[in-house]
Amino acid sequence: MIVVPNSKKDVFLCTYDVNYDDGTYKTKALNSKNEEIFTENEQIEAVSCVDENGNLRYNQNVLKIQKEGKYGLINLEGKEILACEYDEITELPEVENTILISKDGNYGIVNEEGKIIIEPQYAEITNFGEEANAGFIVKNSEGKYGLVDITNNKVLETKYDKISKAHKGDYYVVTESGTQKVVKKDGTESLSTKNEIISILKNTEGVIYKTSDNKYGVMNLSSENIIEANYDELEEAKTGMFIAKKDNKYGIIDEKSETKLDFNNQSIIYNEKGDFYITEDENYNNKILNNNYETKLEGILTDIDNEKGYIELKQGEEYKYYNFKFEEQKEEDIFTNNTLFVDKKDGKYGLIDKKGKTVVEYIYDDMIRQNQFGYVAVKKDGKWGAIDRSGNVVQDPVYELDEYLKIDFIGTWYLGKDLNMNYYRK
Amino acid sequence: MSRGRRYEEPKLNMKKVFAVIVAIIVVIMCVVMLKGLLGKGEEEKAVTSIDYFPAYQNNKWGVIDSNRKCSNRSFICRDDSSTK
Repeated sequence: MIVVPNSKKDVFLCTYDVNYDDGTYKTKALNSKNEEIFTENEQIEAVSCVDENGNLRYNQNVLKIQKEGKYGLINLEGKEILACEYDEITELPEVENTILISKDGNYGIVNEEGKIIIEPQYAEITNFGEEANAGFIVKNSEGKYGLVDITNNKVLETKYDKISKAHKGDYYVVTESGTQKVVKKDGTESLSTKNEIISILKNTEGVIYKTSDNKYGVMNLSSENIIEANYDELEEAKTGMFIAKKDNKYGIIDEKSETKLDFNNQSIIYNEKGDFYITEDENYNNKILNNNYETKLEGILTDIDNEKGYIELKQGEEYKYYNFKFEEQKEEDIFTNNTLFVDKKDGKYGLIDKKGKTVVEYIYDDMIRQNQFGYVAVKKDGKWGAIDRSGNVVQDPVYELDEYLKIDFIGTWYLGKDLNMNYYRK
Repeated sequence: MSRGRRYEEPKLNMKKVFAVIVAIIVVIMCVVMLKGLLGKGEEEKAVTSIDYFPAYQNNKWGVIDSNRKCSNRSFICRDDSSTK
């Protein structure tokens, strides 16, 4: 097997001579000239982890090397950045580019420059937020949990039975002697409850909690109920507004428990950047609602890009694009680097250029938008092939790929079924 | 009766007019050329930005790059199929 940890760098990690009986294998690194590189190491591998969704992830900037049974790190130029002194090195799940090191049963954190942020001294280290800057939950040898920031300064004493990842500002959720509490950074207790605290409200004036019979409500920091625990799920969308579940359907309520959107949806998601709600019914049809709960768009939601600020909806057989003001956008205005655009006429798909001139005739049954490498996947008579950025067929439609989650081509190569491996085949 | 001296429009200095037109054309040409050069640079940048991906064919693993110019040598490293 070959792993390409960083697609922009010609460093390819090859595994070979695998012995499935004893689990041993050999590794080597090659460059784009097929030359073996970084040869002074016994083993060379990607630094990997499996995230909470079960996806395998590789660090893009450092490689794990092994000498005399111990692990260290080199960068993609081959420079040693961490000496081979550690028993194991893995990427910390949930936080990109943060590396967990272990030595003599203790765990620490190192960054991509090889600088040790936390010396191996804890029995366990987990992420606190989605970024390393949020700090880390640490567990000492007595089994007590604390919180440290990215420079290993103590945020919360290592004295709690559990620290929840739920926090807002200087308010943290901890468990001590079987009771959940909201505490401030200095340890001051703001709330204590036998219920499970799910999250702190955005205005830090209360919490969403779950009772022992799995009902959700909201209480303020004086333990007074703001919203009675009558819901099967409760999530704060924005300040004062909650997505709630009742009788297996979702609706929206405010902090006075007044229903703002009826409970007749299979799911509701709030998009903070666009300040809109996405609902889904039992037939997977979506509605996009503005912040007054008015339906602005309908269709099957196929993509939302918060960076580019567009919504892609399948409406009938057509894919339509809208900005976050719900105004229809032209495909060429969103994908400015693309040279070809999918168009449909009389039930068949073709490709047009930016000026609307037909480049590929309307003879295909389906097409997938041009990818970043210029290729368009095209379907004819149930089989898939590829067209390049000039409109030339580079791969005749011969592959049956309808069961693939993602259909993509680079030249004659099509994306493999296991998206985790991110490989192409033919 | 004297009407005074009649106003006479000054005659255009054709040499100066020609020089100005030439100067404007030169400026436009420079802008167009500069734009072309910058555009070409961007285009080349797009083409030369290569991504590498693992590839699998006939029980062999290799690597392909995203630049079609290199497709004739897409298998730039190979290993035995037993390397799983």
